[in-house]
Amino acid sequence: MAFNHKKKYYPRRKVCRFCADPTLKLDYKDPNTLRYFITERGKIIPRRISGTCARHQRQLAREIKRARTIALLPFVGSLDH
Amino acid sequence: MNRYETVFIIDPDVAGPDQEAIIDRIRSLISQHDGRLLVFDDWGIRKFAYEIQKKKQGHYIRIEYAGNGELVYSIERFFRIDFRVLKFLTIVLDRNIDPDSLPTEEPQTSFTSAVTSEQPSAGTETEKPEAPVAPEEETREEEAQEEEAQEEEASRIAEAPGEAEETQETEETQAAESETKESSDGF
Repeated sequence: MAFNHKKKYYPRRKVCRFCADPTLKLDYKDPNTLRYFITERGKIIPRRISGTCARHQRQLAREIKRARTIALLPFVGSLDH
Repeated sequence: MNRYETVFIIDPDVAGPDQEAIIDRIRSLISQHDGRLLVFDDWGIRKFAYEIQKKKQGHYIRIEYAGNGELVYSIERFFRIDFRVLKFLTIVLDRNIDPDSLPTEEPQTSFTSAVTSEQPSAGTETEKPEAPVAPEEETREEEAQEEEAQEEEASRIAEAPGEAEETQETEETQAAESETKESSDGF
């Protein structure tokens, strides 16, 4: 679509939320914050979409996986999470 | 000596005294291995994100303690044997801490066997500060979610993430000014 045609593509500047706001802590015990970074189906949103920097994405993935282990986040989608 | 944090889930259908017996067992295990209980945090009954042993909710308890690896091994072994513990997770908070720097007194195990509210105490203290964030921040978040929804579909067809947002909705509502000419050439 936009990539192979002449239609203008305006990439938005993505900023890592955790770099922009250092007070925001990544913690598996806080599933409501982590929920912004998973899809409705429970998949971790990739960095190219969310704009999270590499370092924070690693931490984010770790915390999401921990939260899944202790049943605070789903492994696989549930419509009513 | 390391500092550990363990979250474990007790079957909510288990009676209060039985739940306290689990806590007492952990306390004795910690003292047996020359560890020290540092934080006792009762989250109360919480809903699961998925069912565990056909149960939809459980009693979450978080403890922080200092000790060595053998202590963690024996606590986790106890959790595996005891069917009343549904799930557990242990993480290392700090390695090679000085045992003398720890507070000597034991924390109050304010164990509430009653069904408490849904909100955990840990969740409230790590509440994200939403207010001071810049407004552009929030819009970006919305866009990310939008994008995510589109991406789910787009990823099957092409690698291109959704770029439909750029079609800005600028509906120009032209106010048609109707010229009201009063024709006064009648009389």
